[in-house]
Amino acid sequence: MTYTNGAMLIKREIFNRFAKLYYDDTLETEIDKIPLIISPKNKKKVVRCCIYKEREIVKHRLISILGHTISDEMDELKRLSEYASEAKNRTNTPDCRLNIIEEACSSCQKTSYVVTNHCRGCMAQPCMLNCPKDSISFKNGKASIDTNTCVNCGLCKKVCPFHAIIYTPVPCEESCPVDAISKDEYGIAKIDEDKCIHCGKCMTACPYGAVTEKSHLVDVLEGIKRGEKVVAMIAPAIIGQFNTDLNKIMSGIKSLGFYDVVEVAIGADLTAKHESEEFTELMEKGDKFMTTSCCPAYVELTDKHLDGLKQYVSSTPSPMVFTDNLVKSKHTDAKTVFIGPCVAKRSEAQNRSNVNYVLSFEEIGALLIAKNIELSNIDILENQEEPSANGRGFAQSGGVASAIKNTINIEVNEIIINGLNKQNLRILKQMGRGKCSGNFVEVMACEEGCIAGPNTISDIRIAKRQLNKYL
Amino acid sequence: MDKKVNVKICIGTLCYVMGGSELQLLEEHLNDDLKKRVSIEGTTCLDYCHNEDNGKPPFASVNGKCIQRASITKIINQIKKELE
Repeated sequence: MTYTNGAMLIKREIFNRFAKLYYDDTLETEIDKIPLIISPKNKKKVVRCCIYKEREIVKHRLISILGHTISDEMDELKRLSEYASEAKNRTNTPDCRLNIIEEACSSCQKTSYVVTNHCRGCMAQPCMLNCPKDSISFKNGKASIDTNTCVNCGLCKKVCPFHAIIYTPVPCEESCPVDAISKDEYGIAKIDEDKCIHCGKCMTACPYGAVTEKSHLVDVLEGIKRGEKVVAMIAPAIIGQFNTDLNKIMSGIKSLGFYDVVEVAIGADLTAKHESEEFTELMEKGDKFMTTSCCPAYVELTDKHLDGLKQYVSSTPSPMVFTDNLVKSKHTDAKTVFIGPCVAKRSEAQNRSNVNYVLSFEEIGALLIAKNIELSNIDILENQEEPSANGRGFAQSGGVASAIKNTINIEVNEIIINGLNKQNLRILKQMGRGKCSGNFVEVMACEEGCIAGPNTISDIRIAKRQLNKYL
Repeated sequence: MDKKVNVKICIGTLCYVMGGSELQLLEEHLNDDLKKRVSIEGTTCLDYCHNEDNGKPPFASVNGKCIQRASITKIINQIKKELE
């Protein structure tokens, strides 16, 4: 789950400034000034070592917002304005690999247990007596851990009566469910693409904002400018993201120049229908269980890590794919943009669908701000096609399972995997060996579901409340 | 004789995107005594965001005083000051 934090806010501020320049038609002339505006000469509170480092980080964040791969940078003198023109003229959509801003990565020290100065060198000394590797000794009346022999089992922390031993994780590595992020020989984070499932957990976990997506903003905006039929497909999780009615959110997005705005919940209704039929068929055939297929990070998890579980994943297309098909059967020349809270949808869009672009709620928020669109004051859209509550419910944990239950009459014993944490991964591994206590497994990589995805704006309590008004 | 405090919370798109969503929970964080003495109003723009000297969003105002980077705690602290 994401909490408001400084790394997130600076990212959004840069998005906002970027969008403003784009709409003012001054992107190429002004973009090189953004790092200086964020970190001016007389800046009082510098978060990094100096304003020059901050500017360099902002520059690289902008390279990523322009959709470029940061590690492709050959010439450090190349200006953002050049990157901007290249972005405007490209025909290939940026790929889904996450960017690491090397300057921003703080090279966090290896995960370890540390004795703090709250250690009182007590008489019991349980830390020393219980350490299975004999790594703790007492020096100057305080416990000390020999990092060469310590295996990070955590027993010392558990037994200390004063809570004087703390655990210091590497946030990105700690958050990654598949050990895809690690450090290179210089201590800088790197992502192993063969392992990465694009869940976005490292991106929100990094307190320095060093992991970032390659944005499709320029590609979408240029498409609109060229007069293409760019259709926005909004994920149901958008309900509750902008503090106003869904219809007004849709109206606001449409006023950005989109040809049409469609709820992905309409596709979710089709997913629910199709998946129910598939489930009924499989159960009649005598299959043990079936899992959902709408969460792209989970599907990629089974592709890359849980081979045994793949056979149990539903073959039903995701709501995004169904919606894309609907849009393109109506307008054959449409370009579709999925607007959602999800990082992994970029990977699904690129590798497993015909969806053209993906934008995040933050990115769409930046566009609304730059255009001075106040959602609560906007006119509503007439005659919008409405999905059912089932479809909209896909946005939260438990929602897909209840949609299936509402659709069919056969017995559903659902297991809800609410977030890809270590415990749930163990359960999924078991399932890969055919061990499952239910017959229907709903998996969502984000705890609470899409409404708490990596690119959400609202506090989760608010988002939930809003969404439930529509269910 | 009880003093009243007037709180305005910006619920405009900018403040909302910049972390203002939790401010909607302000009322739930007030104790019964404060609830009686505070009136909370949501407004689409307090006009603070157009001048960077006012600080950063999200914005709120407590008896007309601007709170930048507003949080529930900051607003409550200002309410208490106003009631002193």
